[in-house]
Amino acid sequence: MIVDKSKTLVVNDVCKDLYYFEEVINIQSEIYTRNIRFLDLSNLSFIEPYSMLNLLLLGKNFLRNTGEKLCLLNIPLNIHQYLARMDFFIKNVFVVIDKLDERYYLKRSSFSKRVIEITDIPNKERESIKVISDVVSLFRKRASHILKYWFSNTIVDYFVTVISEICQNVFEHSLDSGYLSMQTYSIGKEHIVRLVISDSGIGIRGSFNGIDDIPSMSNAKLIERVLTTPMSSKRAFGYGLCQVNAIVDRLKGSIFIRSDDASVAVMYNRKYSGGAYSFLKNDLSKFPGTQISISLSG
Amino acid sequence: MSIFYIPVPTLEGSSVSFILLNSEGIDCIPPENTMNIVIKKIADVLDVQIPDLITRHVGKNMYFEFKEIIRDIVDGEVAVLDFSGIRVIDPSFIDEFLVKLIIDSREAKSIFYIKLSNISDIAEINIGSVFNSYYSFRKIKMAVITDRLMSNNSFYIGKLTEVERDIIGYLNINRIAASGEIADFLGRDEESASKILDELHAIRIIRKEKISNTVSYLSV
Repeated sequence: MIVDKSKTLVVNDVCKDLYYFEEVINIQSEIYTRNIRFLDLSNLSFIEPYSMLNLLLLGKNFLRNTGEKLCLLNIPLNIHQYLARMDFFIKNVFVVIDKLDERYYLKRSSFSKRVIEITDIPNKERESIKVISDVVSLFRKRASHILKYWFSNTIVDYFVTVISEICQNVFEHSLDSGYLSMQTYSIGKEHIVRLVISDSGIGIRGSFNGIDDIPSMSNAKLIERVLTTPMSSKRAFGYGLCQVNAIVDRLKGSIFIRSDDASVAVMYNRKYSGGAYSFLKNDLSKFPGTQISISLSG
Repeated sequence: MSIFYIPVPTLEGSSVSFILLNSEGIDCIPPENTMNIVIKKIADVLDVQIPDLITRHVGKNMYFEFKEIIRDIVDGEVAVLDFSGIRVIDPSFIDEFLVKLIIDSREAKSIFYIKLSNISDIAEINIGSVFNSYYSFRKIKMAVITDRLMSNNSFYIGKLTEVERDIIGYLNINRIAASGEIADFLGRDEESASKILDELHAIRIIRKEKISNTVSYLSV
């Protein structure tokens, strides 16, 4: 394939952290206006699970909107190995210009049980239930590797509740399929466990459309409200995200939710130090669906 | 097996209560009043992967299966749901299974009671959270009796008042008491104690039986 430089966009090294990834979402409109066909990933030094899943969603949205696949090129070896290990490429969303030689594939050894590979969450209840059950079962098997420093039966049980509740939201509320991934990794001296569940459906605001008693509040306020109040767009009330939030609080972890053009980050690890720990943002670049990241760090 | 009601002093030592003893002198709940249901076995029948009971779909299926099992439950019977071997029951499952069962126990023709046995810590947390939400939105009290002390230092999960909590604690020790006796314990008149007791019975947190022409309240 001939690479057309005028249709190539170089992605900066912004996949190290979920807040930096906002830059990739910002360039999304440029992809369409400049008729971009190639994403050059040569600058990437690291990609964490939230960035990985949302890069995948970006490609999926592009495919859905244009009927064409974006091409990834100049993927650094370590990123290529990692993405292959996480089953990124078998989702068949991108065209990869330079294939990774099989001898460079990361082995699926016990050491690499620190991850749950990218898993599709279907948008149909029956199929989704099976996937949730399988993911939970896999998580239980790998929990001691994934949670590592945080490992205890209670914390495993907390995460099982979180996985189940958020995945159910994907097929019940987003009206689209989604992806899940989980991993433990280290940056410097900091250890991080991150669970990410993302979809490109109708988003939180979309799921509440037509419900009269939802006041006209900003999208970020609405996200905050669903985190703190047991409300539901399908029933008189719900438990899912509210209970997830309560669990993250107990774990002294952090939760980041981005939906449509708003985000809320709640850092319970900072809650008891007296400073601000809840951050709301509106008027971000539009990105369809709801993307949730739950992290433990220390 | 014969069951004997044995008078014993209450906490204050001022009045009389009873414990239930079988013919071997062992403190017991009459077996004919208890239906033990091992949840793990129902999960097996439905081909649900344990140790986790999660999602609305699984909750619904369990509920319909359970309805069949308790179809012939007799008036006043306690359905003991044994969750041994189960780790997580998530809020969605609880909403579709436990909440519906509790509502059935209050509305069914035959009065029956629910008691949870061998539940995990996360199950307790999730049940508590669902019950709180239920109360916030529907203004209907939700509570369920358990076989062990919960984090609220009582043998139930749910949001009850302090007086209600004391009554459950009292009955848990004494097993059976008349309203006058509980009124003494609470330091209230019998009428107001009876009202609270009847409310607790209406939400199936305590049992109510007529024994020798006297209305008695029993622990679940």
